[in-house]
Amino acid sequence: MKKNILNTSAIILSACLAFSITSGCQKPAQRPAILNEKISGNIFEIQKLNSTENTQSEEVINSQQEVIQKCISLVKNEEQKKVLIDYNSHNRLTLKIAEGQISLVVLNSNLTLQKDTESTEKSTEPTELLLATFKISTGVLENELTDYNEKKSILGLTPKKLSESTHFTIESQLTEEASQNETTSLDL
Amino acid sequence: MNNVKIFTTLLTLILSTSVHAQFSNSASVAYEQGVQQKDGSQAKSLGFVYIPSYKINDFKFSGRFIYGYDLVNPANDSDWVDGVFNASTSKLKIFEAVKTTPSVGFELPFSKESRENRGINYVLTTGLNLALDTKYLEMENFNLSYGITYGYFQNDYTTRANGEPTTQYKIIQSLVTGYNFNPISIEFVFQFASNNSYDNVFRNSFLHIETITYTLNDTLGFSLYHYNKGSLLKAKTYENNLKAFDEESSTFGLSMDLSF
Repeated sequence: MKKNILNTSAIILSACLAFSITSGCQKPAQRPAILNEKISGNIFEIQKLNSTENTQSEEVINSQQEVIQKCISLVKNEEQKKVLIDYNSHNRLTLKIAEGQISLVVLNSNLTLQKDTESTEKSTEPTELLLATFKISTGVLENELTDYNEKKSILGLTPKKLSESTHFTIESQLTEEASQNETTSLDL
Repeated sequence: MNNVKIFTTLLTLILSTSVHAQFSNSASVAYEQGVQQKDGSQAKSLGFVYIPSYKINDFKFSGRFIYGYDLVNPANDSDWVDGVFNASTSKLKIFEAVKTTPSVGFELPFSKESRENRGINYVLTTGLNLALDTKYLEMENFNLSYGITYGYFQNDYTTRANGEPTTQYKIIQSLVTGYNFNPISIEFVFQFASNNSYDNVFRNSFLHIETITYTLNDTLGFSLYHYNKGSLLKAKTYENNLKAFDEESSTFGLSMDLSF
């Protein structure tokens, strides 16, 4: 009888001890999410593209200039790259974002186009010249999920249509535009 | 404060009975080797295991400390395995033919992976082991037991440093059987672990060990073993990953076991 009481007491006490310690445990915190290494240094906020503010955070690059620099770095044709750098040094490049792509354009009222087969012509109206186009992935920046829908503390780009997107990454340069195959020069 | 009271009561209960104490140790040094991979690499390591235990009447307090020295990349891959501390009692008797051993314990994050990536502070464990009383059944050379352990993790964060989900609690089930042909004995261990994340997703893994031991005397023995462990399902394809022998994860080992 005494033995049974002792046994039962030992079990109850062990269970109480385990339960009380467990329930008294501190709840773990949510780890601050970090950017996925794959997109780190290549994630841009769409709404900041038209803003002149350069509120660059540690992780997300916001300024237009950063986007332009990233685009230029992806250009493989050295001549084209030089032209783009040249325009950029004179702050003449503008970004145009569309579904799945972003373009570098130059706006100039005194734009001169020299084409092999055409005579030189001058435009008095502001002209927009497409210099290079890049493939982009658009989406919203949110916690990545595992295969079982668990939240990771890694931020990734969840693909969305451009109208629903807040961020984008630049993937690669798309096939060079026709204008790039022609001899193009602009008055700076 | 409540915990202190309970602990004090438990301690008083233990000490109030007539004292019969015994301190014992077991240690082993092992050499382990994996199967040579297609790229020519092969895992090779040394393992050092120390298991002290202290028996007082029907209560047993034990620890398990393992250090793995990696022979291929010692600087980066050598590390401790998380330390285990356990208290159990053999006082409980439910069935005549079954030894029932409840236990409580904790694990400490000795390994770099547990400390730096998983952010584990400690793991509280409680378990129950049911072993066939083969002496009672007059088949002393045979052994068969089943154990289940619940472990609750005290983590800093709900995810690991690498962003992946971490374990909130685990349930480990073990089946151990063997036969002693004296001086040679064989043993088979199958362990099934279920780890539950904070988003309530269970991930299952397995471990099985096959051992042949030659016991020289009460102090010294030598063992030859094979084990295979891994997740129950393969990543990405979710195919069954449970195999008796796996070219990628199977490991063979030779150990010298000491008891003193």
